[in-house]
Amino acid sequence: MAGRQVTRRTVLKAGVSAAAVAATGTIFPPRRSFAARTQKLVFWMQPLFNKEADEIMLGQVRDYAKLAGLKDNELEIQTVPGGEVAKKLAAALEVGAPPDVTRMNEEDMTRLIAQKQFLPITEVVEQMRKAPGGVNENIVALAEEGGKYYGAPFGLNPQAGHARMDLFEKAGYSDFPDTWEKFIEAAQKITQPPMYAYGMALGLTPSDSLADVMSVVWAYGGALVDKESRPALNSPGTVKAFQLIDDMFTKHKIIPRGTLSWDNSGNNKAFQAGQVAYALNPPSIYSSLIKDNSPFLDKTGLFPPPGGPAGRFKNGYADYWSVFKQAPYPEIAKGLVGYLLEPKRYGQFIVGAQGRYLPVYPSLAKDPFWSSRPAFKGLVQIADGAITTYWPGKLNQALGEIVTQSAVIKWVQKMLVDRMPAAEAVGKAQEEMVQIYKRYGQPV
Amino acid sequence: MIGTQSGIRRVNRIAGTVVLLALVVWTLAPLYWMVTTSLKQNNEIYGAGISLWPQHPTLENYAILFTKTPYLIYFRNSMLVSLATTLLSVLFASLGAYAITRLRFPGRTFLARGLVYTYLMPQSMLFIPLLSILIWLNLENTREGLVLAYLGFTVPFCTWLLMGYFMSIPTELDEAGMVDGCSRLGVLFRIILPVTVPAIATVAFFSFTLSWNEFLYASVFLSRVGVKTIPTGIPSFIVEDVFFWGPMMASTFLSALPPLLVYFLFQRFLITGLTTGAVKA
Repeated sequence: MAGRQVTRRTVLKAGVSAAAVAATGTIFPPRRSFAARTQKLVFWMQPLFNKEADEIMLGQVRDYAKLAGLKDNELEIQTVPGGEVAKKLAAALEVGAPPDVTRMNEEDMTRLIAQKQFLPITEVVEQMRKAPGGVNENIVALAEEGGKYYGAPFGLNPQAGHARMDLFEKAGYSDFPDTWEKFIEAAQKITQPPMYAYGMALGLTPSDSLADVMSVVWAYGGALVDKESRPALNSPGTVKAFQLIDDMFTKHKIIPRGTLSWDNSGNNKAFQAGQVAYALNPPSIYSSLIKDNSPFLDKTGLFPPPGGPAGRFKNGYADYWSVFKQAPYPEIAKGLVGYLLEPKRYGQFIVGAQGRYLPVYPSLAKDPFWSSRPAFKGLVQIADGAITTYWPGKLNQALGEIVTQSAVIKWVQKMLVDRMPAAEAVGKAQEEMVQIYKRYGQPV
Repeated sequence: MIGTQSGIRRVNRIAGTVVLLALVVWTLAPLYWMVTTSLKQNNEIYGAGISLWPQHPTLENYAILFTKTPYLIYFRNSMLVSLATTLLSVLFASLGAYAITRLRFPGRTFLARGLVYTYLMPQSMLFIPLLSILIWLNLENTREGLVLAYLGFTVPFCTWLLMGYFMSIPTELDEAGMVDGCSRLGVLFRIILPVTVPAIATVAFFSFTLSWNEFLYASVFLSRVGVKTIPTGIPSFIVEDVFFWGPMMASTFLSALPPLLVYFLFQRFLITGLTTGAVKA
């Protein structure tokens, strides 16, 4: 019997063929049925990288789907990291297949409301108002357009001044300075390069930069827009504030030079690494200190930023749930938002998030969790009555672009780097704002 | 005179060594930083000082990766998508390249040039039309859809690359095979492909690494955890302004291993394939 010779080549061929069959066979099963897109409730989950909070959220969505009578294959939870949302959403909207329910930031929500992409969810907001103690009306207002609400607030991000109190105490200040003058005095004593007092975000990536600049501008009586949301940056108060920022950067040298190129995480990293004594940021820095059991945790206090002649201002922004109008089951999609925001259920998520967000229901801030750390007291105080970056006006599409284009910060940089006089920088920033407003046909 | 020449040679050698060492450091430093960061505790990563070596080495970041994230699912998906893309690319590219180099048919030159132009089309211009097609085919959020999209840029390039190799093989080999009774496909699979193994290895490696590392298409086309690939999982380690560097570096390091392994296993073929192409294409 002439047996077939087994050579290295035949073994290799057999191996490659087997691998080919295995690989293609696994991903191309012989029979596969795809559920049509319109039969599903599509929920975009933006994970917090906090297993407890993420699981609470997922569990609640699945529970709701069961209650609503959806079959397993009628709920699709898609995980979309926060940084990917803009790109994925642009593509999804372009092809007419956005999610049914997703979390939105203020700027994206405002833009999409103007583009009429959302279903009104007024009944959900009205239900939230009925909760004991009501809901934070400052943030609810941003989701309103023509008497209808297109977003339901999901979490409040107060801009908290994270301050290394051990360093301020060492400089002779038992309390965090309540004015910018006192802050500069203390900061000069604290600053010993490479350790700087103020981790002021001044980068051009849309980030904490505008909040940092506005915290000084408000203190001196300036504002981004007026009550009618028209550009109002060019004022003596803003010029004074810009001059003060220039002094802090150039004359007193209490701000590290590298802040000009920081991205959104720049001040987080600097504070967590102990390279700065003060940074204005949502509580993500503080919750990272808790998570990492940082040696700076107990030395860190949370305060409103220092004030000035016009007062001391507290600022915050919010994230929202919105429902896209393509939702195949609008009532079920709206119901999901209402279900997630039912105060008791929502409270579980907020506590699970370990201080990442403050509750949109003021009454939930009385939960023992918010008194479990001394610094949380400051956080709750900031959230109470915090104004938005667009105070005393309201966010609109043009303002959204001004934020994403860093149209104001660009001129702050011109002042700091190219030595443009403060008054001229403010004037140029105002001009640019006006141009953007005109492009959108909005009154200036 | 001889002494001077040997002195120049020595100086050249030293200068060359210094330049090479600098290049080695330049190339390996990011890899080294990735590995050491993956072994550091968060406190150390965010510490005031910079440590070149972990002060308290820990595997905690790897444990987080395997227990708190669906990394293994991402890994499996990356492997399946990359293998399928590689196998299909090699198959289609071989058939295409052979047809273009050996057969005479109308539009052959146009097709050959078209392959290059297709490859030059930026990915960022194509992802929305491709998403549209995938939704139309009900292949959105599936690995099959992603493989289909990847073939769109691997097949043209691999075909173009193989054309160079196939052209270097004398047609007399084909003719001899056909005289002995081989069909066209028989010639391709029994004669041409076995003598172009280095070239096949090169295009396979190219397809594998491209689909293994690809981010844009995967991030737009896939959203379900069950089908996501490693590059689309990495952004999950960034939550707004917080970066989870430890698990991110652990994930990046582990995902760099398969292409490295493939390269080491097929190094001999790859180098031969690349140099052969360089001379004969």
